[in-house]
Formats: sequence, structure tokens, C-alpha cells
Amino acid sequence: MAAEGAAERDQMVLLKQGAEAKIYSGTFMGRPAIIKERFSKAYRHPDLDKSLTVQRTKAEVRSIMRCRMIGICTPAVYFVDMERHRIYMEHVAASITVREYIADLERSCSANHVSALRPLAEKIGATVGLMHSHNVIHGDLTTSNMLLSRLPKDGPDAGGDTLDGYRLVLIDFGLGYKEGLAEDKGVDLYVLERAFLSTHPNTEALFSVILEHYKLGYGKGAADVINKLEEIRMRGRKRTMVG
Amino acid sequence: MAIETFQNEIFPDSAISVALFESVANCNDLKKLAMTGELDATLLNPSMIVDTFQILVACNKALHLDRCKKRVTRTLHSEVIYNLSPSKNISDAFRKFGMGDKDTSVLLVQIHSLRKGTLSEVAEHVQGEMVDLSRLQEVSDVNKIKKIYKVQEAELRVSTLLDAIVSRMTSKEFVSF
Ligand SMILES: Nc1ncnc2c1ncn2[C@@H]1O[C@H](COP(=O)(O)OP(=O)(O)OP(=O)(O)O)[C@@H](O)[C@H]1O
Ligand SMILES: [Mg+2]
Repeated sequence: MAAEGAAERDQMVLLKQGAEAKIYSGTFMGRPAIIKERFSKAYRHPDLDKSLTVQRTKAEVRSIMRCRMIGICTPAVYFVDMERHRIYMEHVAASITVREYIADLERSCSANHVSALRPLAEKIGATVGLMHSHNVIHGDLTTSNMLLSRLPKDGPDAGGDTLDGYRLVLIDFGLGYKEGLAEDKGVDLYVLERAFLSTHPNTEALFSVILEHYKLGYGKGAADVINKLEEIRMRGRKRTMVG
Repeated sequence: MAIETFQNEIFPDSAISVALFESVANCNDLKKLAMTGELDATLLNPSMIVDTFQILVACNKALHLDRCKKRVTRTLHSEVIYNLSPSKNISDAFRKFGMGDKDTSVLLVQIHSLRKGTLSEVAEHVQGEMVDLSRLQEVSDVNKIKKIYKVQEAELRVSTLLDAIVSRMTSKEFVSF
């Protein structure tokens, strides 16, 4: 077992060391793969630690599956190794995070980047709306957890569900769960809003585009969530005023 | 028209050999041999397979569960059949993904040590014609596959059928379809 692990590790390249997971690129049965490995945290009680890593790994796989089944792009899952808390998944080809994409646009066409970003905002809104209409909560909806992938020209669904040759892929579902309450959906949107406004200045207009298309993607019931969002914003403000 | 052998990055001491046969006359006998454990291979129903990768995903999972002693079925090779299925019902998996005794085509799959595969010996028992694995595309019954794996059109707008299938195979312990 040890020798096996070592041989495989030789072929894996560490891409990112996150707070609770390492992201490697490698191959799975010859295909480009991302290997997400959750590791122990020394400060947690060992029993709690083990159950948390198992729980998050399961939660991630579950939400990936729920999203793909309703037509939201997520990476294919090739193998789940619960012994090592690893998920082997499709390496989304030629991709950058939405965060990087926005930063690039701000740099290259700072004058009108907001209008350039409109199609992306529409797609994000519609996608999150669709996800929430099926009661899937992402749990960490930031622009680093959304990828944009350049489609292969003659890919199986080229020309279909794309924006300007890009396709939006949701990732990092470790905090995801299923819940119908408007409160949980509102918090998801609030996290997205905070992420948007704090990392991408002057994007208030974009977030309202997101909300417009959220309503379209969600359908009946979206108004309840938007009302909750207002409430959560108020709470947020109070909290910062109190300190 | 030959046996194809695949390596696995995770278990580099092992390999997976696959061969596809058509116009097979003796599936009934093969099944009996397999049941008594005389054939060291898995016999699959090729109409349920869209791509070789689907088999490799099932074999990898079988190897993994075998080595960490969490197999659900009796042997490594029967585990491959169970892993192909999106359901946790073992007999259902065998009925749908195992070769039927009245079938006329069969996929032989063997997981073996890196150095020594014996699928050619198993293949000698088959009275039929070995064909290229690319023939799978013609043999697979896409409509039946979509039905059994419960793959809807919404998903196929954002995924290939193959990705939809392997994702279900790998996640069936935590998700119900
Ligand atoms: N399937 C994938 N294809 C391509 N790139 C990926 C894929 N999965 C992850 N990445 C890259 O790795 C980065 C980190 O991945 P992810 O968000 O899943 O981990 P994380 O944020 O470290 O996780 P956690 O929040 O659980 O600590 C992503 O922002 C993306 O750049
Ligand atoms: Mg992340």
C-alpha cells in the first residue's frame, strides 16, 4: 500500500494548498484529473476531525451529483477514496476561476468591464437560481468556486449552454447541503454578494443583474429568497455597527 | 482484434485486460464455468457499456475496495459487475450488467498482476469472434443505458453520457438516484 501511494504521488502535482484540502493535478486511468484531498487538522479532536473530513467529502460528492442531474455543469466524479479522503474528478480543461476572469477584464478594459461582464452575471444568476429552485445550497458561493472553461470546439455540447464560448462550472461543494428554506438560500446569495463586492469594486450593478436572472432561473418562490437576502443584509449591517 | 491491457496509476502493480467477442455460441457454458470459479475473469453484457473507461472505473473501484477490505461481493471480479450498477442491489446488478446465458456477445475483463495476465487462456473457452473494442459503440444500447442509470436530458446538456454514468457508479454509496 505504501509503495503504491508513493508511485502515484510522483505523478501528482500540488496545485493548491487550501485551508482544509490539497488540490493536485494528475491522471486517472489516463485522463487528466484533479485530486482533492482533505487532510486532518491538528487542533480538532481526532474523532471530530475524522467525521468532519468524511462528512465534507460526502457532502461535496452529493452536491456535485445533485447539480449535474438538474443540468448545472460540475466536474465528473471518477473515484472517491474514503480511506484517504480523496475525490478524483474531471480536470475541467482550459479553465480559469470567475475571480481571475473578472480581474483580467478589469485590467484589460477597465472602462467598460461592467458591460463586458453582463453575460457572465446573467449566467451566474440563472445557474444559482436553478440550483436553489431544486433546494441545493452551495455553502461557499464565491467567485473562486466558479470556473469558466473554454469548450473544445467540436465538444459534445458545443454551441449549447455556453456564454461566448465559455461554460460555467460550479465546484467546491464541501459545505453544500439540501434545504428548502428561504433563509439558507438567502445566506448563499449573501455570501455571493459579499464575495462579489469585496473582490471586484464597482460591481453593484452586476450583482443586480445576477439577482434579476436569479429570479428567472428560480421561477416561483424567488421573491421570498430576495426578501430574506434584504433581511440578512440588515443583520449584517447591524452586526458591523455594533462591532 | 486483440486483448487490450490498461495500466492504473493508483495500483501500478496491477493491470486490467479487456476483450470483446461477438457471435458467441456458448454463453450458457461460459456462465457455468464462471459460476464454478473456473474462469478467472468477469463476463459482462456489452450492451450496457458505452466506453472502455466505464469498465476501468469499475475495476479501479473494485481494486480499491478489495485492498481496504470493503468489498461488497464475493470476489474481486464479481465486484466489477456490482460497481457498474447505479443501484446497491447485488442481484439486480448481476442481472443487468453480467453476461446473460442466452446472449451472443460478451466482454471479458480480467484484473491481474502487472506482469502476468491470463485473459488469453480464458478467451480460449469462448466460441465466438474477438472484435475490436471500438465495436462497443455499435453494440451498446444507449436508450436502455439512459433508462437504467436514470440519465435525463437536462444532464446531457452539460455532460457526456459517459461522464454521467461513471459519476453515478462512483457515488452510489452516498447518493440515491
Ligand atoms: N475539477 C477542477 N478542474 C480544474 N480546476 C479545479 C478543479 N477543482 C479545483 N480546481 C482548482 O483548484 C482551486 C481550489 O479548489 P477548491 O475550491 O475545490 O478547493 P478549496 O477552496 O481549497 O477547498 P476548501 O474550501 O474545501 O478548502 C479552484 O479554485 C480551481 O482553481
Ligand atoms: Mg474553493
